[in-house]
Amino acid sequence: MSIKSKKKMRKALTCYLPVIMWILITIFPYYWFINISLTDNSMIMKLPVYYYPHFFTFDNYKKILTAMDFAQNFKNSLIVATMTTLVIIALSIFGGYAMSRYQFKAKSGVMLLLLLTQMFPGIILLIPLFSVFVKLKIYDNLLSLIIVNATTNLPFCMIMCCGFYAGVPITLEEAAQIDGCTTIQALFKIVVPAILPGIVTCGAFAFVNSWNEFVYALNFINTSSKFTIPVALSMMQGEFTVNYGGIAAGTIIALIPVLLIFAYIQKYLVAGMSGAVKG
Amino acid sequence: MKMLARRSAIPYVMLLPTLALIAVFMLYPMLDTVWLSFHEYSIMGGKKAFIGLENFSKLMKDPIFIKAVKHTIPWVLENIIPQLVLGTLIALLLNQNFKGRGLARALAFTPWAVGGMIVALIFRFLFNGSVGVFGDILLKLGITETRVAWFSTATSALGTMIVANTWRGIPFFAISILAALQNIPEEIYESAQVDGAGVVRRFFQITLPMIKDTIVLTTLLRTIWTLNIVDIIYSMTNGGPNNSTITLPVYIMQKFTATLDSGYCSAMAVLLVGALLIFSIIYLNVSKYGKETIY
Repeated sequence: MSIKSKKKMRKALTCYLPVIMWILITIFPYYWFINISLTDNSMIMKLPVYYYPHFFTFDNYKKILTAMDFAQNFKNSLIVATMTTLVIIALSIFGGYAMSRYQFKAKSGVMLLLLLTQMFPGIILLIPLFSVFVKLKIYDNLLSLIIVNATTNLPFCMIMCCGFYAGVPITLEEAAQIDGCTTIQALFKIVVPAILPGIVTCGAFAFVNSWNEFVYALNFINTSSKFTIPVALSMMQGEFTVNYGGIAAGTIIALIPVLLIFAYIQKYLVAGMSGAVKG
Repeated sequence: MKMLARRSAIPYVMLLPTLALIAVFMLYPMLDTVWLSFHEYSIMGGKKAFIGLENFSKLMKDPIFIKAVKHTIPWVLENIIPQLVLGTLIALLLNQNFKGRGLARALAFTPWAVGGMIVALIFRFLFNGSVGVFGDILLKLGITETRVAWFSTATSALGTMIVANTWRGIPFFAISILAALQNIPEEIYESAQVDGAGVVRRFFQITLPMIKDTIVLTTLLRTIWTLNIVDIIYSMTNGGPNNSTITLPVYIMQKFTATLDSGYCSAMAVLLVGALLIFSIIYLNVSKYGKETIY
């Protein structure tokens, strides 16, 4: 064997083979639920197990999309995740700018506070927030979910944003200010466009987390027409005769938005994480 | 770095909405939790009555609480170790140069975006006792003689959740470690190679020390998140069979939704946070986080 083909062999064994194996392991669960979602519902729980949609049908998708509640649940999730994302982006742009560009007394205290909030388990907010939302009369209201998602995701997103701001030279803004821009103008005309990929990553992170959030959505919402998708799917699982075809189809539909977003931001993600971990 | 060091109210104004949100919906509720833990109080009504440490002493006699506490450390270790080891391997793998690397990374990282509830739904079905594909594969390979009823024994039920959680948790480690790997200058490896250091030695003497801080921080964050997991346990085993897979957060939620007993549940929450804080401080000190590099 020539040196070149030996090298190729080695590359295939140490690189391509394990990568492909790992990718297959990773995507197998998705594949399996696509398989189930395209199988006739009455055959799903019967043996033998088919590794492809043997009893092929689109009925599970048709049924779940025409069932009134699921479309509504999808809309609810969309509302909660979008509003949460907008709030977080707006607050992170200003907050991150303040933290990375100004020197002020409370700065290290604020940073410590942001970091500390990451240490607290979300479950402990459940009990007191329950009372708070009842008092504010927004229990069983999507607004309660927007508030709790925005608050719990904000610290991490803001720390991430600080990292992005740090990568933009301050001379850019000084030049703009000399040319007569106000601080706010310089921020939105110069700095924000420069860190746009970072802001998109932050927003995507917030969107995905709110889209997936389950525990608060389960406890703060009581009416089935206001459920978000994870809660709706969980409720389907608890029914007397479990509609696995419907659950699988609903799961695939629920995965589409987050996977699309994820595919889009993937290239920024590694840079974003190194920013967040460095602070 | 140079700062806009003017004395002004601008940074405070910019941070005000954020701090207000955190104060009202995080800090106040946390303090309220501590306060409630010394009271007998149910959301269903009735007056708040100060009872001192009674909630805590009741906890010490609660067999499910004791079980949940005992499960906590093994649960964290059994989840973190496979995620950290595999996550590091995947990061090293995806840090190589090869065709299709972007696509491979995108696919390998997707589980990160999948919600806990959905992970639970999928893996519950993969491990289904009658038509689950994992049981089917084991049967076809002749490893088992009958289909395994995964959720009926404590060990296998725990196993299913660890598999699900590992699948979902690896990308977080892989992404973070990959980010750290990319910051290591190529020249260090080149000169080490010239000096005759092999792959293993290069990993332990260059790579590992360079990514140590990242590993420390990601492990800490992941430990807290793993302790915090409710959705996967809730919908895969709901703590069963016979409370053998229950953890403290799951018990807090179960107890709270069943009884709305705020006082008692708050006492558990306080103990959980206390333990986490102590753990974080010890962990960061023992690991000498950030001692070599200045952030």
